[in-house]
Amino acid sequence: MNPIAQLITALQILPGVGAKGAQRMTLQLLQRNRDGARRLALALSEAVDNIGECAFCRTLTDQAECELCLDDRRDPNLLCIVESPADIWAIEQAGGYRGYYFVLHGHLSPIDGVGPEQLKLDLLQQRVAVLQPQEVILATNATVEGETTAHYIGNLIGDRVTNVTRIAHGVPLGGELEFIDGGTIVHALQGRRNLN
Amino acid sequence: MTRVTDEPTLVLHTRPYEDNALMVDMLTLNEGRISAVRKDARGSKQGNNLQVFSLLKASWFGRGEVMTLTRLNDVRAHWLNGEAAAAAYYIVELVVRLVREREPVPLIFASACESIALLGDGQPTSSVLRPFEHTLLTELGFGIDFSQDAVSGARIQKDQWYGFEPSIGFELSLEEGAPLERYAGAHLLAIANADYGSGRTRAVAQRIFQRALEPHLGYAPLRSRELLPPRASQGKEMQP
Ligand SMILES: [Zn+2]
Repeated sequence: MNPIAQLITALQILPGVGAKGAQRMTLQLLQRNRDGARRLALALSEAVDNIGECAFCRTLTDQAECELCLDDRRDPNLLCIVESPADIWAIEQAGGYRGYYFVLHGHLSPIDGVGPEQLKLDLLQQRVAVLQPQEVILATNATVEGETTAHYIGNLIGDRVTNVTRIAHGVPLGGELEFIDGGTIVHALQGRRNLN
Repeated sequence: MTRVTDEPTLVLHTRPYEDNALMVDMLTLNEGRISAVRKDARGSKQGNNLQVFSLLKASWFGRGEVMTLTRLNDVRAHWLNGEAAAAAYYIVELVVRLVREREPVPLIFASACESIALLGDGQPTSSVLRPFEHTLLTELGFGIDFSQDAVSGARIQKDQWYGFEPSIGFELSLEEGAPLERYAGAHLLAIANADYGSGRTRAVAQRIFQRALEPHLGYAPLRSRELLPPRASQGKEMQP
């Protein structure tokens, strides 16, 4: 395969990029922005060579231990479990949470062959044993798989942690009940909290 | 061009597809197992309805392998946890591994939907799974005759013991040269009548269906077993 065709094919591994889009990108990189293309190539190969998982929280990092885990101003009483590094970014951007994290890189899914071992839940148990947090927050997605995963982990660590909590989900901010689907309403009712 | 409207559907599996779409594996009443794509699914209300174990009425169109999902009506979601989730995943796993695509299996569809609804209502997993396994084996053409001795043709007697060979069936077993595993006729007759009231009958049925399914499942282990709650999975007689 010639280098141009190779590049067009390679770009199609990106989500949402088909043959047409890859062609456009290839032309953009080669015709109009060679410097940009060089920077992209360098950044990509450095990232691929150097970035791995943090030994403590499994987020993506170029160090053995990530910046979040190294930050000793964070609250060691809180550990938040998420499905993906993107969820950490979302929570950090929203602000308000100052504890530590653990990334599962997925959720339990028997059909995809993802079980407790693939999510490295043994590493999570170690993390809990060392950190000894007061509270573990299960912030997996509000999908059936996310719920199953949260429930499974809750069972797994329930004996060791005083508070195992699940993030609230249900009626979105600004949402009117009338316009919300049945599944969400059922969930919101299950997750109701005391006001008195 | 195929076009199907408001087809009763059970969602077996979903995975992210391309930018914002979901690839959905589903079992339908009249069309069998179908793969379909729902565009603009992630983060949308229609997409949120596409949860594994959900029962709904789906509409789709397309040609070739993968259909395009349009409307989703009458959605009934099932949020299952613990043993119930493991059992529902076991049902889904058996369907995905044993039911071929585009082959209508209305009775398997009905049994899978009913079983998942019963699990959602909190029914004990063993009394839900055994009838499902029975229907699945029968409808796939691997039915077992629980009322007849496959070798002699005689009726199964409730006070006799029987050995079981998946490709043959039950055979009267006398004390001498008895197979490793033998089952009391009374339990076999109870299973023939779909009477799972006794725990012992359920355990016998579990074992027989497991042995009957094994040759068709091949060597890859069932992954839904791993979902059993960590504490419950130890030393407990249950399948998955
Ligand atoms: Zn870390």
